[in-house]
Amino acid sequence: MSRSSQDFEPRIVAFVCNWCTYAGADLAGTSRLKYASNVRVVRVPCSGRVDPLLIVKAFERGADAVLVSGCHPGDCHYAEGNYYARRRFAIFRDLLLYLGVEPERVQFSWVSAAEGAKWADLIDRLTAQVRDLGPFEGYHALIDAAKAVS
Amino acid sequence: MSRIGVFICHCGENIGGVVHCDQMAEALAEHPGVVVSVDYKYMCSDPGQNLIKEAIEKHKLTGVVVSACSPRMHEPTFRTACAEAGLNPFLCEMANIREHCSWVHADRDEATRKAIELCRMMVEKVKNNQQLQPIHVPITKRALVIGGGIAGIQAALDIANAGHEVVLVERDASIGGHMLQLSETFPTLDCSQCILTPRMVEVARHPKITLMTWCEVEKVDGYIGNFEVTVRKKARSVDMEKCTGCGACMLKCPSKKIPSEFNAGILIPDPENPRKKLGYRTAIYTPCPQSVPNKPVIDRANCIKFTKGKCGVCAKICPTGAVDYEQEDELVVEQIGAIVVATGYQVWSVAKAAQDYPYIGYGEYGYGTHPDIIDGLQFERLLSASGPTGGKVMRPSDGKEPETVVFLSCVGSRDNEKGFTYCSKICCMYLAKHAMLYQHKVHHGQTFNFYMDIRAGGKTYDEFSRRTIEDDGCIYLRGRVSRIYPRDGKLVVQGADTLSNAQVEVEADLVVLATAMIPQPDAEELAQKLRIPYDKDRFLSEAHPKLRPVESQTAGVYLAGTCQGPRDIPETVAQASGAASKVSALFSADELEREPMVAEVHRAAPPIFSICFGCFFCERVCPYGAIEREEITARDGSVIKTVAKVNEGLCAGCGLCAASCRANAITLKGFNDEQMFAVVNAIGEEEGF
Amino acid sequence: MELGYYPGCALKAHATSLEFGASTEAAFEVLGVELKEVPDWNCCGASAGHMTNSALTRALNIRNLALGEAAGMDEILAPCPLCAKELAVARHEVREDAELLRAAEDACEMAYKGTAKPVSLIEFLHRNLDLVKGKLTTQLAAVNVACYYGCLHTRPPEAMGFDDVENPTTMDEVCTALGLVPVEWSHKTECCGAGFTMSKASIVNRLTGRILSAATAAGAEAVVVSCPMCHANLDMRQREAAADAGQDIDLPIFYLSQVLGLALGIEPDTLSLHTHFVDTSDMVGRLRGEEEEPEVRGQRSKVRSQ
Repeated sequence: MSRSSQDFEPRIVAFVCNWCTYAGADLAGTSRLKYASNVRVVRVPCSGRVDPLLIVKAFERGADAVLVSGCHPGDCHYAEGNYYARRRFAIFRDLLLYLGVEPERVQFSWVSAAEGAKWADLIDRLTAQVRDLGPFEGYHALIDAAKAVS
Repeated sequence: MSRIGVFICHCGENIGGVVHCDQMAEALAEHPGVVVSVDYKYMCSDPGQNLIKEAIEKHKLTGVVVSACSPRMHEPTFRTACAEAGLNPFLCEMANIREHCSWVHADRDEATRKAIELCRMMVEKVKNNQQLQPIHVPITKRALVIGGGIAGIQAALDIANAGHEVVLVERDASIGGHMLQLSETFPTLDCSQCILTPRMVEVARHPKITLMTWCEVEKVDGYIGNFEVTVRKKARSVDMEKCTGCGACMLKCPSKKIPSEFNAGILIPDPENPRKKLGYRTAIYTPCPQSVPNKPVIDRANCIKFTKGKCGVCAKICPTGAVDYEQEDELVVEQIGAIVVATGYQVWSVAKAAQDYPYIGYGEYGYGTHPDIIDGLQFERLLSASGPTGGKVMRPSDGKEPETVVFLSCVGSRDNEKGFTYCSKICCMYLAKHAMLYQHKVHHGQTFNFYMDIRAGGKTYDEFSRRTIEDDGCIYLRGRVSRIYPRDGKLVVQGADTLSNAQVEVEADLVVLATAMIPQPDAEELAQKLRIPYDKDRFLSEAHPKLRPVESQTAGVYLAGTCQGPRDIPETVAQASGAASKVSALFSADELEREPMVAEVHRAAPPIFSICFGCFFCERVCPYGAIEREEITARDGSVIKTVAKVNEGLCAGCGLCAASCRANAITLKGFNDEQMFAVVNAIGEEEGF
Repeated sequence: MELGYYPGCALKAHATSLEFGASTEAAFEVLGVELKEVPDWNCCGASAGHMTNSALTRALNIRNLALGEAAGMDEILAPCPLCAKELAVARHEVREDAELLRAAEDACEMAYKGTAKPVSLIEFLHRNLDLVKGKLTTQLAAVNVACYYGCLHTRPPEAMGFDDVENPTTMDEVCTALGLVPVEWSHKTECCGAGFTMSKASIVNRLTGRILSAATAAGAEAVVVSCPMCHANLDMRQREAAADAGQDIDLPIFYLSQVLGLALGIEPDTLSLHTHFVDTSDMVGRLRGEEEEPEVRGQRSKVRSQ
């Protein structure tokens, strides 16, 4: 599913926690803030629930970038889930870097239930950033390379 | 085979004005597994809900997706509707096409494409949903109150008066807390002991209250409705059954020079005998004559019998043989349904030597180096009829009546350079009270008060502080003090009066520092035992600052009083009653119903039993201690393997364990791997994304 | 061990506090710390400069620091706290604001990376207390002294970043190590009047009088300072200040480097102890443990009073 980069519309998958970021995105809605429509939100109870394999799956489905967003440090509904998420993604990003993937393709952020505007800005910024990066064809290139080796 | 119904809401113009709902319904009708796909103006209305209910019956639906607003808004509505039609409510999901789509996008085609995709994602999820049953948890209708100050006393009495059993644990030898140390209370000048001691006696006599003084909470296991609390009964060295509280032991105890904690450590020269000082207690002691229970304990660190092996006078003098040097700490386990934390506060010692916090402190104020520079609690004891001087104001250095008293507000409070950022809230009022009470006792005296702002918010509070200024002639100086030092038998207080823009120097006989109110030194430790969060200043955190002020983040643990933040007595009592009413509400049912979104560990028939291989990584990441170890045994009793098991009562459903499990043996109901991957798999099916 | 050295005007150029410079240099020689003077150093802009033109003062100090940096110095000892403060404030400001750094660099036509930083005498000695202790030849007599830090040693706190602003204790700790007994007292960081000693001595007399009487009240028999201005006022103005306070005060005023020098076994004259206004000889004798015959002491003071 290679796409030309001329009329490129980035595909972004966002895994967001139910208590902060999902509510923040709701607030962006109730505030009628307009932002790029390129994001698909997947609701999870806590950013700590996000298995890195889900991110890989999103790339496999053609995502150009993945966002994981949870509560601010210290505000986690489950006390410390967001810390686990942060550490997990620090390592996961290193792994992607090692594989030659641009680290911008996986982003982590904190958006609270009160930060509707931050959510809208985040999505706009991320969309612009990914538009500059171009489509993530690297994923399939990686898979092909892996197949060639095996 | 899945039979999914898709119900698309226009929400009037809110969704319908942007998303082409009809096109959406058509597109979803073609989606595999969808047997009915309709759109309607208001899905949450009665006719809208009936549409869903009828479809469930007519099409024998195995799952429902409502494409409408945020699930945070109407998920309970639609799940209830499904349940009413006989479909397990957890087979209903919502696609948020309002907050996340129609309200944030303007282009109709783009929004429609996105809405269709969001809906497809939820259809794929619901195909993998399982029927779940709410969890029922039995409740032990017995409350634990930690701390026997006014907050704990009020909470215990309210819960007990509602007919429930209460265990009140107090680490000191008597209940009463800081309120018992106060002289009078603002703004009414009620005698603190006069209004508190009847409550203390009521606690002791209440048939539903088990009073455990000289005890501390050692360990907390379990969860809401089913806590198992281990309490350490510290060795009192006095048999509570035998002791009659006659007090003969205290009179004869030879260790007489221990500064009394109840008197906040203040010592005053005895006017009868200048070589002696007032304010000491003995090694076998009750904190004060009004103690409840009025039976002594032995302070082993200061008792000659325990430090040197000799003495034993109290055992000899005791008419009932109640003194028992052999007593040891005892651990008792209590079954508890709810916990009220009411552990109170301390006043910050700003003496440099006594600092155990990373705060700079106020060495320049000389607290701890000069006896006539004291803190607010010490001045309370000087004013109190039950204090070392019987309420006569005398200064610690020479016992003279101070004629000029200077009060300093905000010592450590509202000072992010040297102390804490927060306002301690009670100091403005108690300093006004101090100045007033002092003036009533020493008519020719003069008081000064250095303040930053007068914070007298509260019923008749401002009138009270105005009285101090206008009737009792306290000179209020708006400014900070830079230094206090002795000169010719006086204390020179150097400060600024920012209203007249002048440097001020007052020669005082006594200086009272209103030092910051801080949490108990072991507040963090207790919070960790209870698994409740605390803030940067170590005050315990409420679940929501506005709407859940008496609940902690952990279900079944409630907060009362100053352990949560600085506050005065009326507020503390109100919060304690609030916490008590929460406990009573919890105890009004026999069982607790909880959402079944909890983790689950894989189980299978022998010989597999479970794909869990017992690494217990889940145990390490779980913030709730909800992972237990289960031994799978053969018929002969030998252990085949030890695997993880989730305690459903403790599990809060965060899913940390599921994301951490290397074997994929643990999953989160409602958000399991099949569901999550199905959602992600549905992304990108719509052409053009 | 090498250490950058910025003597400033007071210690070097003219005679305000030659004692401070001479004793510091002598003591550091014994300590085995080689003081490398910042090449071609200029005025720090204290007193007049910093009040009238902050950009100029910043540039002056960045030049001094950049010169030290170019000479490979990491730390530059600035015994005079006026210098130490000007250097530290300039460094603090340019680290906070890149614009200011650029302006200062342009003005002095030098680059400053920020590696060279100033250190006051008290801070250096406090940090290297073990080195000091290892070189002591005599414990000074247990004489009660008042450690007077003056206003600048700890201020402004964000730039100095050392010790408690209002109630510093580091000089007390150094003096304790030398054998002295620092008293708890009230006026450790009060203003002595500083430069008003020239323009309005009455202010200085009043402020200095308070400091001296507070030290006396606390039981001090001598005052230890680490600032040329403090020394000038407490020593030179002592008679007028005592009169202003209505007290009879006779307190020898020592530089920290002088008592350090005595403890390191350096001769009093090398430490310029003979050039003070308030006679130090009796106290020096006591500090060094030389018990003299009372009449001899009487004769000596008679000789001096002539």
